[in-house]
Amino acid sequence: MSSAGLDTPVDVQHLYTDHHRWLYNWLRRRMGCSHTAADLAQDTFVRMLSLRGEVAQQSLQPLQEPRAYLWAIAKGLVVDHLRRRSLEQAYLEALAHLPEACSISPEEQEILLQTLHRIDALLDQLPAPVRQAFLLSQIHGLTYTEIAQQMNLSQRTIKRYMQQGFARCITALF
Amino acid sequence: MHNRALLAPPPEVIARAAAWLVQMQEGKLTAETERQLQAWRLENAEHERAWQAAMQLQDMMGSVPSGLGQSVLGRQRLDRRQLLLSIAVIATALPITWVAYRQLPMLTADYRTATGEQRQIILPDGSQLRLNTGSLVDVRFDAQQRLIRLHRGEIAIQTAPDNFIQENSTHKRPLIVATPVGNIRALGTRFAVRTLDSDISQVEVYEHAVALKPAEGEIETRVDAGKKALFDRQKIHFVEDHHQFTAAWANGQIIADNQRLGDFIAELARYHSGVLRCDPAVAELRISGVFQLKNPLQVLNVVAGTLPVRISRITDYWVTITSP
Repeated sequence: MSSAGLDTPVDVQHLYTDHHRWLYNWLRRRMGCSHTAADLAQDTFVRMLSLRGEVAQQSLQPLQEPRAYLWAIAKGLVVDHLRRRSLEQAYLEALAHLPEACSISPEEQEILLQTLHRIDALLDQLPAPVRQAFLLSQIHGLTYTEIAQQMNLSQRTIKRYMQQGFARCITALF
Repeated sequence: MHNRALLAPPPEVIARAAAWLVQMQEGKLTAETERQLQAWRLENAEHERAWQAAMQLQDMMGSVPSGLGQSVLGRQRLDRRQLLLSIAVIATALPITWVAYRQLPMLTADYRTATGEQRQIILPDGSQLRLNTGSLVDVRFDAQQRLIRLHRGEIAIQTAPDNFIQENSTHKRPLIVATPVGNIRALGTRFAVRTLDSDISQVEVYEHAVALKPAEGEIETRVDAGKKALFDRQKIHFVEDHHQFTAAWANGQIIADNQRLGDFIAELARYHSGVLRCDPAVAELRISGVFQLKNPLQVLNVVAGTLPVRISRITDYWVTITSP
């Protein structure tokens, strides 16, 4: 594949100077932290360039609405960031509440955190009831019958939810 | 992170793999279906790829300790769509009139259990609430607090750390159990609360501690793990150390340790719809043991087998324990 569809360095330069400032300002207002805003602004451009790379292989459309496009990406990154942050907070608290006897090493903690991030991202794409059933089954270890009782739904529905949850998660692993 | 060139197998293949997983989890994988699964995997390379991913998913889920996973993954999460929408509003229209985005892990709900019934509920913050027999609670979560009002009966609570998100910052709302005679504030903990009658309630702490304040009391008093306290509107009375890690009833059990038969029967009566009465003539007998709550009448048979008493069953609804 040729790189003809990619933005040329000059385009990228323009894009960056034209749009970095408002994006950064918006992110800073949104996040209330200039470091995070700078990181997210950077990530937004990186993400946009890589997406453009993929899109460019199929069509050579120039970027019509760079502002809307950047903004859409930035919004997604903000949401991801907030999710990761809330997970990390919950994780630290949960660790603090662990009894001494179950203490885990810093390496294990880090691995576990990464796993939790992955699972959390998977769960995030599930509709709320499916997610709840999925959590009760996979993390709480309840049987389908127990979940059906707790959620006040038929066992048939729970099975359908579980199948849907599994399918989405499996797909996301590729 | 992942290789985009490697596309996922077709949806119908993934759906089949997911169906196998469901079947596996139901424990319905017989030798025959197991053979079918093997055959399916061998049939096509895409099938096998989907199945490998399914196994990877299982491993991933299995590697998370249950308790920790429950509080982390089960935390109140941001509603992605709502959040995106709120971001959109702020950015396009109103930079000055800040439309406060409020994630709403709020809940207003009533829960009740009939006699002999128990129920477990996961609250929006991930806390677990278990209702014992004949209980009535209402739950009010708002921006300031997580309030569980116990009108009657008994509940056990395992609190989850709160991450209430409001205007982009998180803060922790206290979790409070309000009984008719006083409030209990959780300090990251597991505990059970019971209304004994309209004037007296009881708290039993299993982990960490709670802060207890009678309705007309001035200050909060700390009740630590292993302690049990009775309280009315004015004062607190520490009863005994209970040495329990969890409420027996939450495990479907009733435990007697050299207990007066009269007290034991009164306790058992909570789970029996109908009249269950102990004749004063045998009330002072002592009983010890662990009994299953599922069927209170069956417990009585066990009692009759160990103590010199007779069970007079007028109907299942009306049962008395008398001397033989």
